[in-house]
Amino acid sequence: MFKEMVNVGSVTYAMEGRDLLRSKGFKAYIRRTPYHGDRKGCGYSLEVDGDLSAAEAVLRQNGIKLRGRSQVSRQ
Amino acid sequence: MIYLDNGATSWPKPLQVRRAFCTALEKYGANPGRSGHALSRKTAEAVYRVRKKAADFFGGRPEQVMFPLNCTQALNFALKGSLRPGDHVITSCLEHNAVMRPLEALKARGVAYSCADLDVKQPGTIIASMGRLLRRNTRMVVVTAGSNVCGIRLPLREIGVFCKKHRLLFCVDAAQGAGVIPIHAQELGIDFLCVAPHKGLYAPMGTGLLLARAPLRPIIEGGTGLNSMELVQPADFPERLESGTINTPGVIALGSGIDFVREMGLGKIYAHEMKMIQSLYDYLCQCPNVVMYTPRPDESFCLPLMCFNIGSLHSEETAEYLDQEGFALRAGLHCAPAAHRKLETLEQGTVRVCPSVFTKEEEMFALAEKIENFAKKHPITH
Repeated sequence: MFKEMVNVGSVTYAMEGRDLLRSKGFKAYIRRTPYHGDRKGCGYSLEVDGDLSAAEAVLRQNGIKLRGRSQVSRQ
Repeated sequence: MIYLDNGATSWPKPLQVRRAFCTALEKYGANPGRSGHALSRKTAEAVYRVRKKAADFFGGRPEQVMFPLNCTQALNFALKGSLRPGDHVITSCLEHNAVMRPLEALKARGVAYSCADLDVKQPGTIIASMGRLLRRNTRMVVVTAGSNVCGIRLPLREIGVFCKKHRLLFCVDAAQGAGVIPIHAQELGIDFLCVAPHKGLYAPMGTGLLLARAPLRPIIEGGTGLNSMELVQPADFPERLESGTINTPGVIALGSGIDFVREMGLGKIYAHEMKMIQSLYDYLCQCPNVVMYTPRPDESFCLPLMCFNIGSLHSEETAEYLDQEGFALRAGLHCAPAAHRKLETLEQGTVRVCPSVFTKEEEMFALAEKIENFAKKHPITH
């Protein structure tokens, strides 16, 4: 089974985003962005338990830049 | 040894800072922002907490806080990362070489600068002077929060208003003022705030801080742990300006230094250090052959540091004598010939006294007595 995460780039934005989401009631965790051969490589993502689109909206509204989504396998 | 050279770096460091540094070496040993394993994440969290503390303390957002190795690097990032050929910069007549040398180097790239004069007794006069220097292509004002030579404070709030009115970038060298006077980048309209944490924030040497609220081009490119496939530097702070490994134990200890200053309270720190300087100044005023270069220091125009000379002796000779008597002071030009040009002390230099929160009044009296006795043997000969 695959789960989607939102890519945020730097570890600083990941921590800021995580703290923001947690303050809004989301369960959010920082993960390394899986490298799938895309152009950029290396960075951090936020795995969210719950509505990822709603979490993305919160992040955008608070100035956290989003860099797409990644998938990670979960049991 | 009585240490009064806190303008160069503060010493001693508070116990909590020393402990934080040692803890960082023991428990936060991975490289933050590079790997996904638990120790790297734990170290990254520790660094992030310091970014948050610094952002809160100085008025910004965590991602706007960068950790170069010192304030000079921060100033180089701010000046060389924002100015373009054809730009004009206004600075003051009291600046440290950390401002003057990059500006001088930028002349080769077509950036011009002018130095605004001021009345040492009324630093607010710099505003009118800046107005007279304004050109159509003026893009930035860069000034010190306070002179590292004589302690004269510049009116940052009024300069911020001036910059806003004329749509200028505002860069502040807060090497001497941070941790002693309140400096809030957002409230004062500061775009680039450059700090020497190893001074007023009691952090280890090898730490700098840049709070950047406007875009900057990088002047150092390299590995950032982000977007490795791209050969261009990341677009966003802080990684844009943090290539290579930061001084992680220093940064973690810096967080503890911020805690220390907050717990003490800026008002209390300033009042204590100013009392030390005023005690010394008042004593030395009575001493023949002791020359001082400012009015009696007070909070309306001064940071808690002062400079003096004895007779016609070169300042290094005075400092050497005082070193032999157990007092650590800096003499000479203090990497700030501009300020000495203003004070007319380029040949003699001056001896600088800079207390810290740990300085005791009896230490200042002991220094004053030594200066008085030495001065009796060395009259002014010109």
